[in-house]
Amino acid sequence: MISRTTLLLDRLATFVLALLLLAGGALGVWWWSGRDVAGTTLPGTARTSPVSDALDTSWVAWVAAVVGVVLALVALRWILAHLRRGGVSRLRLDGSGDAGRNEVLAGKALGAAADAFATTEGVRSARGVVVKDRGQLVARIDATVEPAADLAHVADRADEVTAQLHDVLGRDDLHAAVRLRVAARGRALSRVH
Amino acid sequence: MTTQTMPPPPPSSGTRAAHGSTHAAAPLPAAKSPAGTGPTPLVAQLVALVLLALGVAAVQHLLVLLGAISGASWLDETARAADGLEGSSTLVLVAAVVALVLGVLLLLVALKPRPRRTLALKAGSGVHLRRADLRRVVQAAVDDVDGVSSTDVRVRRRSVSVVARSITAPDRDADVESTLRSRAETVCDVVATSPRVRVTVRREKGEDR
Repeated sequence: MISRTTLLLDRLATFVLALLLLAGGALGVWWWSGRDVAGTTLPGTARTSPVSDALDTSWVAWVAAVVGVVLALVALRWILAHLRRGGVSRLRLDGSGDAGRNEVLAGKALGAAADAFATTEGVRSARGVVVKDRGQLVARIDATVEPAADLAHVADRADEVTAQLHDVLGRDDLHAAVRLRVAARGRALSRVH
Repeated sequence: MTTQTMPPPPPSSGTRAAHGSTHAAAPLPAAKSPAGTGPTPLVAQLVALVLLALGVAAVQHLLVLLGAISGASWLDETARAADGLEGSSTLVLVAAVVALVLGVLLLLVALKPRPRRTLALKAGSGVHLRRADLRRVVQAAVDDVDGVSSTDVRVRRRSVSVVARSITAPDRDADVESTLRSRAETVCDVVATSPRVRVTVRREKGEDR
């Protein structure tokens, strides 16, 4: 799960790149047209020999390399930020204090909740995870349901399961997200609601 | 400070309070609606790869200059290749137009809100499904109606349309439509902002008697 900060950076980078491309494109059209804009005309031919000369200077090459390494490290960090899972492994429970902590393994708790949800008629499978999403601590259950499932019953069961989770964990800052996917091909249900 | 990591009590039937209370707890409050990321992470990662390539090229240039590796500097080669480029050449115009088009597209991508393609169900705990998934459930609900040979379901944010091919007697088309509507509405009533259901019954070819 990509964090909000990374998504904001992505959006800013896309915006800046768009502006650079628009500015570069406009400059290119101006250069190609050879027109006079506000009393200025661009040279008809590009001369990059000063750049080549500068690159052959030792200190410029060193500065370029150092800047390049920094850019590469930032780029790697940026790419890795997209691979972050954003999962929460432990949840602290009531009763934690200076004398000790009461914690529960979030994966196990959500696994049990997902297993309970998966016993619902029409739910084929379910798995649960606790994640941080847009500033909220979220108990997320991803479930695959049968096309013939009674969605009202499934939604009621989701409420029951998250109520039990609420009761067991006692965390009022925990939010629920139940994401249903409907299987492309159904299997026979044992009974119809 | 000690850490006591305990296995979770299974949330089985019958509420069990881990913290003293015996009353049934309310469902967990719903999290924010699921939102897609859109294409900006893809663009950003391409930018990051370009930055990474620039860094590698800069280091390669230094190593060539120091004589640590043989071969030509990529940065030098690029600068020399651009030397003498005519401003009036077609290449410049094509590159400029491509940059403008890409710039406009990326500007739209950068300003577009995050996509929200899911529908919330009537539940306290944030139950969502995608429109394509609702389509499958509606499709399953209307598939086995008597007198109908095939159905086509389309789901939009505010409406669900069902087009059915009838093979029953023409005077029973109204019953077929009523059954289809009832089944589709039963499914759609669970959606928090229940979409409007539209049902169209068409005669199967060769069944116009």
